[in-house]
Amino acid sequence: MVNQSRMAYIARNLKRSKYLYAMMLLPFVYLIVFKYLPMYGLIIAFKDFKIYDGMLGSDWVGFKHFQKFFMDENFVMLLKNTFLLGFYLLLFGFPIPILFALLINEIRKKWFKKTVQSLSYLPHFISMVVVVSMVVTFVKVDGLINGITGIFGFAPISYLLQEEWFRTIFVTSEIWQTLGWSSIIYLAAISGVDPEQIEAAVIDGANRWHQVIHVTLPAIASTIVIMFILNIGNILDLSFEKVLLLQNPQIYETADVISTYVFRKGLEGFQYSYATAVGFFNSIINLCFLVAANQLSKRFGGSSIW
Amino acid sequence: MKKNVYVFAVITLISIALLAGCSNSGNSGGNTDAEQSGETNNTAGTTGESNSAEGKLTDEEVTYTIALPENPLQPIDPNAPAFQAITEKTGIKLDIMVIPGADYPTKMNTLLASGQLPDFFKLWGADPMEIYETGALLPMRELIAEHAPIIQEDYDTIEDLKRTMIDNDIYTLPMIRRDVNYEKGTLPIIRMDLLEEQQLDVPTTWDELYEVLKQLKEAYPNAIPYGARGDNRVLFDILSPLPSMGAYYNLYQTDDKEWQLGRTKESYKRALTFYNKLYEEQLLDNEFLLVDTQSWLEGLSSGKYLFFYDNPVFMNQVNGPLQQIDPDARFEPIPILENWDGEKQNYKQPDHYFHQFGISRNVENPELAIQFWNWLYSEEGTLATNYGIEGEQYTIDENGEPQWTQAVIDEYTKKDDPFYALQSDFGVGNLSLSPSWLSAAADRFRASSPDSLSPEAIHEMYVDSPAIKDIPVEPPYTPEEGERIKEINQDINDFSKVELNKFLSGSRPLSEFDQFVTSINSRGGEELVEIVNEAEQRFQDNQ
Repeated sequence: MVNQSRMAYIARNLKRSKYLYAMMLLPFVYLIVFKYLPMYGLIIAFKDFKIYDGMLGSDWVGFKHFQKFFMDENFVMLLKNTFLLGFYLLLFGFPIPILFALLINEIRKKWFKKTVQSLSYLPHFISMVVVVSMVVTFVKVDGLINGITGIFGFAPISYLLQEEWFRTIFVTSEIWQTLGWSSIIYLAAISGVDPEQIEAAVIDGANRWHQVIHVTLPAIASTIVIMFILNIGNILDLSFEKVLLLQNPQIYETADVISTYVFRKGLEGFQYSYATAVGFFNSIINLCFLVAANQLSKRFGGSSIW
Repeated sequence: MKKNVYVFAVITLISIALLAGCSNSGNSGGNTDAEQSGETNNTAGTTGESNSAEGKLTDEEVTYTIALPENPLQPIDPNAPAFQAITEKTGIKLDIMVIPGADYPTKMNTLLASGQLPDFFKLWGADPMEIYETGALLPMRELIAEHAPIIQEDYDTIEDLKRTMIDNDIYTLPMIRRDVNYEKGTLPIIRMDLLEEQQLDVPTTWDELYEVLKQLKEAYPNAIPYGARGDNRVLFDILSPLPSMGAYYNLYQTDDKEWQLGRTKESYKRALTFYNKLYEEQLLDNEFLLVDTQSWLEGLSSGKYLFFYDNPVFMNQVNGPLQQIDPDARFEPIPILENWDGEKQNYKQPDHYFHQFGISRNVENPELAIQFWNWLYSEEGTLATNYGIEGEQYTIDENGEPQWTQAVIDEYTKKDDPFYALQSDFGVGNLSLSPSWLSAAADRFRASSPDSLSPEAIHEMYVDSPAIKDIPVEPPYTPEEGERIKEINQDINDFSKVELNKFLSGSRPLSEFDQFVTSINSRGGEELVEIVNEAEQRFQDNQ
């Protein structure tokens, strides 16, 4: 009896929201096909995978590849590089789109606002290879950056050959590239702020600054928290192509990260099982960060993904 | 309301299509091999012995897939005469996957990893041994003995060809050069006009070169005397200047035929010291690590670089643009430089195995595939893949030699870059598919301006020089040896690349070179040398 009414409820629900469910179908299929099915391939991390023996035909080897990675002399360096790059990206890259969105929101001239917004989206649409070659051209000895610093009397630096500059170049170019695009979601959240609250604040004597701090920011806080948790979950998921294209052997010390190492060892070095184990490890760390961030946020603020 | 139903239907359809279209990639790597070869070879069903109608290899319509890297100088047209000639004579159609040369290794590694290698392919950057270990290559020794008399004859007669064998079997088919080797590998090449302008003598030793570069730097402070493309052509490649300096990165043979690991030797340190001096004084482009071939060529043709040690073929490419800026400007090769041991030496491009080809283990009807390759190595195949179609692109003269037709000569001598234009249009030459290579076939179209040097002219410059040597070929290994060599190489190569670049730029002092050598040896460097020498001994004993 209970079951029946439940079925009826589901059926009614399905009928009522059928278009919403239909719209959900595509992302659902995407997740199944591209995120869940490939997980099957993870078993090769525990095998000595030979392509022509197939996944099932290869021998099981337990945690051999994981042990090899933990014993690898590059292990600490890779973990450190990956984590630091992700951390800096979060530290500097996360707040800037929020600030940008708040600033854009304060612009009153509509044409100016639209122009700035559109210009800021542009780098997002340029292919990664082009972005990287632009970055490389900018930071070469005879490039734009050295041209500018040269005016102030600094000696030219070949930035991409200096270990200590890699993180700066990566993070700043990443911000330049994603600033406009990432701010869209905050702009959307800001547009949802109740104008009456702002009016009330103005009547209470709040100036622009007060309005931002006391009305707009609290209103978009939950969006910020959710975005923050999602970002933390990707902390070790750096833009692989970009690191690969920007790095060179002289700066591996800071520029080699887990994903590029996986690429070199796995695809170029034919160690598929080893590379899968390393990639798997990367994902587990990401998951840990995600869960931890979610728990913390739940405890302190209440907003959380689940 | 009706509209909503349509939207619903469309979304559902797209989802289903997506699901169906992706179901293959969903379980990629599993067992797509069988499907793959089934899809690509239409009907390589029966074994067509070579005596079928019109001398074709098969009466049925057979298609094989082949992957070829494309050099931007010479785009590959799958309908070019050479490929038409192949189909016409053999009855086999090639379905060509043209892959940009720069992406070729990555793309091929990906195809290999997903078990989707085409039937035939030009081997890529990786060591053939490593590809062999994945099990992707077809063992061919017995097939060749039975079905490919021409390939068998090459193996019996050409010295060192047997060295390309793996575990006593044939897994790769080397490109065989059927005429005289005019190529000299890489050469020291300098802006001769500037030497004359500064009244400097042509350097004859590496130390003299240093002095010359230094004086050029003083005279032209905006230029960077020595330009190189990437670290490979400086520190690692067998065709880098290292052998001329008496140094080697990888395995090399001493005079008494013993294999040694070059980068652990004092001679390598000496070369590093020299490079470091050039680097510190900014005579060597300090950003060479960031320079790709394109920006390097731009540097050469704009007067930024004044010296390079690379393939002389680039001379023709850069002299033209240079002369538009300054009519007297010209790069010219100079004699091989004497190193600190008082020796002059330089490796030339090998006569053979310049490229190697492989056949997928999943190829359908391997007998027919081998017969096809045998045909490519035959005289008929050689003419088709180096000249095109008889009567259209070439004719055979009274001496039995192929000659380009007058129409071809008339048309192509007028073009800007006739050498590559012709080879691209006809689908011929080593940048296309010519396992049996006539390297001088299109030479008459090579020199575009009267004063640029033809390969033959360069050949004449060095023909009597005892300095020009063949690149030694490593002995064949057993699978176990190959596996161990791969492991050792993976342990030492990444490490070497990082450290040697540091030594060169001075970020690690050269006084620590001995520590570097110790680490290399403790990571298996010494073991590697032992394995290679054992394999060499075994190979010699079996001869």
